[in-house]
Amino acid sequence: MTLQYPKVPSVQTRPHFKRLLWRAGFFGNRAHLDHYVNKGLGHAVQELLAPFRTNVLVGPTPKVNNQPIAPLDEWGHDCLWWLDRMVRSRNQLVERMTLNLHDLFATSNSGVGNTRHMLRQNRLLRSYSLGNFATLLQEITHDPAMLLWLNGADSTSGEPNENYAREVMELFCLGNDPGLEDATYGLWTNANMYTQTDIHEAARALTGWRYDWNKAANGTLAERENPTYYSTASWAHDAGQKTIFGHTGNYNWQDVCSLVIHHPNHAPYLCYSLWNYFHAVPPPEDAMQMMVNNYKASGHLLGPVLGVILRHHKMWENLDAPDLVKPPIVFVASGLRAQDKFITQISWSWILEGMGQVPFYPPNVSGWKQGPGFLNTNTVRAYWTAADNLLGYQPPDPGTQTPTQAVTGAIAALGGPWVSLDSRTKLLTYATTYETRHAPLDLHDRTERQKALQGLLMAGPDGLLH
Amino acid sequence: MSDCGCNDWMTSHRRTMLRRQGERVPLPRAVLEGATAGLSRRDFLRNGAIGFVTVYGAQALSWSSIWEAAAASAATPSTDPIIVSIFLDGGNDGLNTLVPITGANYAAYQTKRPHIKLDPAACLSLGGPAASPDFAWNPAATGFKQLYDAGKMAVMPAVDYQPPDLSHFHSRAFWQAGELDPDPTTGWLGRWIDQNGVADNPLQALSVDWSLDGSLKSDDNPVAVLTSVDDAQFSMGNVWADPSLMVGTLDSLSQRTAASPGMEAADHAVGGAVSIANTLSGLPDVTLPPSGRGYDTTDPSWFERRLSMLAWLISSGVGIRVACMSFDDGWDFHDSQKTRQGDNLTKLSRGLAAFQADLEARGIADRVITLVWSEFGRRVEDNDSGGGGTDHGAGGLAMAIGTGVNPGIASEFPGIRDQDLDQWGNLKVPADYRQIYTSLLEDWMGTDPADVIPNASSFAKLPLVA
Repeated sequence: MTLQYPKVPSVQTRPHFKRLLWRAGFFGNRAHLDHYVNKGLGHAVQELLAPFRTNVLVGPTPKVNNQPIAPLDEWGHDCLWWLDRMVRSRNQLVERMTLNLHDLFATSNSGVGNTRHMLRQNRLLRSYSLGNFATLLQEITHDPAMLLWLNGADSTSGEPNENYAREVMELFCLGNDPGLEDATYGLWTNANMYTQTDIHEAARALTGWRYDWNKAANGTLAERENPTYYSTASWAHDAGQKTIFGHTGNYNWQDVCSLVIHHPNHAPYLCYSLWNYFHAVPPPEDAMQMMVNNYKASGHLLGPVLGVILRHHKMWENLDAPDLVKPPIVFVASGLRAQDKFITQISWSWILEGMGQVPFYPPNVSGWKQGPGFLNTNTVRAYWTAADNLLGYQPPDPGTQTPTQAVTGAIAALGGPWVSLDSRTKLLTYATTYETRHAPLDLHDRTERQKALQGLLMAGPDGLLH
Repeated sequence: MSDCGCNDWMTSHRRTMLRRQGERVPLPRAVLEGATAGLSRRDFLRNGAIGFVTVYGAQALSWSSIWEAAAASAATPSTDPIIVSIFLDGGNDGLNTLVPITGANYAAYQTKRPHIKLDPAACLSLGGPAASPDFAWNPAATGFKQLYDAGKMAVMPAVDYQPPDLSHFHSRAFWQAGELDPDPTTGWLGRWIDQNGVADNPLQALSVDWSLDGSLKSDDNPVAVLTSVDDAQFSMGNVWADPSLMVGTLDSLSQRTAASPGMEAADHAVGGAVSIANTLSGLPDVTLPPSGRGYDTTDPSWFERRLSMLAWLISSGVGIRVACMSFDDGWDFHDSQKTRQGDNLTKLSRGLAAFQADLEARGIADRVITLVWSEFGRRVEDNDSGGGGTDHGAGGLAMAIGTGVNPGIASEFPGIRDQDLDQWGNLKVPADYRQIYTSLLEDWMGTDPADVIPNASSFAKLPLVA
């Protein structure tokens, strides 16, 4: 089997590149955009898939009250720490995929209660964000945050805890929604659905991991970071025979990971799930087939799957009417990037709470409700607060502007986000009416009009989509 | 909380609202007038709302069916008893709220609390029908003296659970759950609502707060959070000369034919939120406390505003059976306790005395008992941080207020001489907090405590209810 990719369009406009930056990263300013435009779409996708290894973060380090942030110690600084990476990283797809994997393997510090473990898991997700998913699954199965979150650390031969075994099948790797059969054109099949017995048997095989609370509190730095240990000889491990997915053996935790990865429903489930982080419409059949082919042919690499997702013609549809809702974190990170701003305040932590997406605190193990699920009358009010904070109190004096110049100036100040024709007309009406009501515009009026236009662009309905 | 080192507490506190996702809906004014029959969303928007209610556990219900049920309650005058639970978050120091002023206890108090001891001559006596010479109120707690002397208060000087574990998070969770489960799925009042409430009126169990109180978490029947009307407006910094033009434009941006489900979600959420903001902006602020009842009407605290709103809601007859509220400020005084606790007690006791007067003026005082509690008490010996503070301890002070309570000292005081304390220098725990719950459930609400509290029969009732 060879890797297969769709062809990128030969006619490439700036909106094509904006779409790519929005979906594969956190948008950007004019310079960011020019960088990719100069490469062309094909090479732009290639660069996103081949992360830089040096000088990854560009720009000033994050500060709160002019002090460096302390993600391990201060409330909310874990959130700022990651937000800063999204804003400053040259590896935009890596950060966006890390966020997607945090949703897929949703682990919340509300259950873990250890920020050091959360940051370790975040590093793990980042290091495999374009890499080998089979290895990632092995690693996250005994990741200390995950062992605490889904009870792997207190699952023993006498009392195997099914929590992780169930979620690794239902949410992380296999899926159990019968609708997947149609959605994947039969690549995923109901006939291969796992059973409760498979879950219980897998839970038995996963026993043996322990967590040393003493080392977690008082050990060396390495021990505090990862105080887990495992032994197949331990009383905690069930060394007996198990039957999982019709295979029988004296399985251990690694065998469970391998059995899941090679389960016939895994590749289509994972590829389908990944596609939906980047597209508002389900994958067409050719995309499903290419993704599954590439995932298997590459030995379970994510990069070749993402290569399909980012090049597919669905990526370039509706450039004049975006249909994917911006997750709150994407909204904030991109709002900063578009204006060349960096992390200087703690408020993002509570603003994101109001918007409904605090990194490291997904609402439950199934992650955030994506897409339209992010929006309601409550959260859009918080998106508005975020926009007010992103823009700062008062923009610089734009000087004398015609209403048209005021609108185009506001769009340019935000890095040229998408605006529908209908919205542009209504913004022009605003700018014109403002002038009529307040002429001649003094310094305040000019900045008020500019601020309001930018706020309406950023947190109006168009600004919630990408 | 930078002076406390209790980051886990602060964090968990702020994250609580993320654990469950509720549906946020406006509360129509008409509900409170018993007139929502056939109320449509459009009628509601025309007739006005008094605030937002976040509804938990009623996803299957429509707005109108919810409000019709509330209005139906309002149409039938109720005599049902009500519990109001007031939480003092952070661990209030009972020994400096209700001071032991006689004999060996006072001698020990003086010795063990060199930094924060109170002068008995300045403290407020416990008079009235249940006068007690052994204790006196903190001089700041004027409202408590008023309530106690009027025979409307029962106090329980040392309530906790065995063994007390001194963790904010565990202790609060235990109190809210009504059992010793650190990660409970339901609260004691939520279970009561499951047993005794209705399936269609979320106002029956109300958190007058930003997030759902853990005590109210239910399995089946809906419960609600009511916030104020203040947070709905689409304001933006620097936009003050013509904000309505901006908000009007925001509304018009959302009025279009959407091209995708994502766009439709964005348009609906923005348009809906603007409608709500506009509707609310023209209304008088109904949450301002009435005069003549003891509330500070010129500069009311948020606590007083919420209390007066709750009194008004109860008198509107919308079916409230249980309500919870957390006091505005924390009580975790590891340092500088004397002034900070005094400020809190002034505000707390004045508000509660005014609330009682308000209920009496509205003719509903005989239906309400208010329970005031904190997750634990504090160490008997003080420390010298910032002029004197106290560490986490055991045996907290709880109070029950109302015309229906049996006034006086309702549970044992274990004493604070060396030989009276436990091995860590904490108060012994002569009363379990679940004894309060079984008393209120059986003697006040008239239901079997065993329906709600595990092992209820092992928690002997206290003489709380007259």
